[in-house]
Amino acid sequence: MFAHIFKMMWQRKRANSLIIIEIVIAFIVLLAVVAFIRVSYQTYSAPLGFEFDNTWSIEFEPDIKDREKTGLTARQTLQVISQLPEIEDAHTMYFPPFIEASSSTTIDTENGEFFVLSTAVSDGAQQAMGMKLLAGRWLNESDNGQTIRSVLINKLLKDNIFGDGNAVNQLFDYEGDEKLRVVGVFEDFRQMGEFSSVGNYMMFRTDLDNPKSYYRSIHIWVKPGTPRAFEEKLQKLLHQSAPNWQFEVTTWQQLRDEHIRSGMVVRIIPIVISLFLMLMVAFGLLGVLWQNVTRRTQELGLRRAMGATAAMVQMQIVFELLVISLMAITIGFLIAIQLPISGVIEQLTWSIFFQSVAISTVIIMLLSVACAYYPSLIATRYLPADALHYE
Amino acid sequence: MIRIERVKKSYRTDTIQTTALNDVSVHIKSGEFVSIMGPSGCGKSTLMNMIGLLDKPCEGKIYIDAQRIESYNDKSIAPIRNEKIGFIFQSFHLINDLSVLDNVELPLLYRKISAKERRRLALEALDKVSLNARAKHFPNQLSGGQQQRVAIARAIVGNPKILLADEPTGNLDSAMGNEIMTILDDLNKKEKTTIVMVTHDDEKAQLTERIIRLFDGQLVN
Ligand SMILES: Nc1ncnc2c1ncn2[C@@H]1O[C@H](COP(=O)(O)OP(=O)(O)OP(=O)(O)O)[C@@H](O)[C@H]1O
Ligand SMILES: [Mg+2]
Repeated sequence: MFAHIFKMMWQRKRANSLIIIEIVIAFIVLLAVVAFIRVSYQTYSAPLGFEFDNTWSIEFEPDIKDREKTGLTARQTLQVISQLPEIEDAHTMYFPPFIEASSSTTIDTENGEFFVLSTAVSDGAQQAMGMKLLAGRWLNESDNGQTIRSVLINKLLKDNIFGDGNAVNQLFDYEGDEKLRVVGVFEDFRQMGEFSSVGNYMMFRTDLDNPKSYYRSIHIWVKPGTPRAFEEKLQKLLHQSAPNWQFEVTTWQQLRDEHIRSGMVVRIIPIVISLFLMLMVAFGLLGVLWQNVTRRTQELGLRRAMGATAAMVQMQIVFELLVISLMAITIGFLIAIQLPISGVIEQLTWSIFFQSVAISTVIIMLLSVACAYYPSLIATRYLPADALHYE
Repeated sequence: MIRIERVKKSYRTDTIQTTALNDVSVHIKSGEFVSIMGPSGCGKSTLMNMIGLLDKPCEGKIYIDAQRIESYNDKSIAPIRNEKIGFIFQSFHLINDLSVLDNVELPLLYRKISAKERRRLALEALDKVSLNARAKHFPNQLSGGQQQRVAIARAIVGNPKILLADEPTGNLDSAMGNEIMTILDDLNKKEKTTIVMVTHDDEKAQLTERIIRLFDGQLVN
């Protein structure tokens, strides 16, 4: 029986190879969409590394001409607002979270070159943000006046530079001839938000007592339940402290909402296009598979006239399409695997690739079985006499 | 061997209802060679489909070997179609994607027979219709008469007791037609196969033992 089916498939190789091409295309499109969604989800759901509840950002336009005066005013402002009963904590930060701006540099190590983003914060900001320390300690006054600057690095950068080894108190080359000393390793600080790719990150210290320190935003941790109306009181105080400055107050929650909104807008177009593409391919495949069976209604009627049961005839059709889709999936797999082999897309790890292959395979197989099962069920519902006259 | 009792069959298409068979009763004995005659559209093929279990009557009973089978389900009818009946269709119905040999083997695929035995029986059947030389050909490489002979080989390969032939010579010239008649006659005489044949050709009908005449879905005497 199997020999018979394979012989038949071989004779119908023209029609079958068209079906195979159709399935290969469907498989690759599906695989691409699944992998894209999987990678996006992986990025989106990776830990942010900090909390954003009850945190407000106060940004100001600093006077670039006179850095020292700017620092002084900012410091005074920070002290003044820290007195407010609604405010539990206040820190400075060079680049606040959820905005598309950060310092970047390239670090040259024995293990290769790494692209690293960084920011600088005042002492205690890490605890205020609920960041997780994995090794060493946070930055503090003891880092004052060291010849080698202290730095915190995230786990990914630690793994990249030091591998499995210990990083605390180790040095690495920074820009120019400078060396940095690692004093602590934190889980992560995805400053640019959930949609940004997971990457290397460093955190420097802003020494509030040093008149040369420079920053452009203050962040406050308000008591839970503080109403948005508190901004009015805050603005009044800020205005008194620095009458010539403009302050913009936003909650981190608002910044994050804006980040998610714009991230979605950027992604909605490729998602809509790929869904549309998938729909087109699915309908095309459905049509081809469906027609492949109905066109054979006469043959199926003949087989039943020769003594095959309806179930046997249906099994043959389902088996044929299973073999065809397995062949197509194998071809599609061999084409698609070139992408992770070449490593062009860094986030496309082997595990994500194979997960996506498994999901796409199951979907295509189910679609094929359904497209063999239902039309052959309809075709075998005819009495053989009617099936033989089917045009 | 075959008994059709008061069978009615009508087709309904949108608005018109056509009665193809109206209260037809036929009894065909084992070993008989019977022909069915009548004008086009009188219900000959419909009657053949009833006897061959390819169609279901609206009313009436069908007996094959004293088994009443018109209400059998698909699973119980399939082995009867496979083992007891060989069908030669008005329009051949060969599978173009299969070689002549594979086409002839088709009914044996649905029996528990080894591939080797299938091959042997198929070649034997092809031998009976003198087509061994064309075993590896495909149907569309054969003439109409050759295709008809392949269809006969396929109908007899399983050694059925009943052979139903719906205008087996309709598409052929008279020389070819006579050759086919000889084959059928041989089967009837030597293998004691019961044969029911539809024909428009009076001469060929005269060669059979009995003629059943149909007109407008009813028997005429
Ligand atoms: N599937 C069908 N649907 C509707 N009407 C049908 C169907 N099959 C047959 N008929 C009608 O039933 C009647 C008998 O048809 P049948 O095919 O039995 O005739 P026939 O005697 O074999 O004719 P021919 O000599 O041309 O083969 C005809 O009027 C035909 O139109
Ligand atoms: Mg007819």
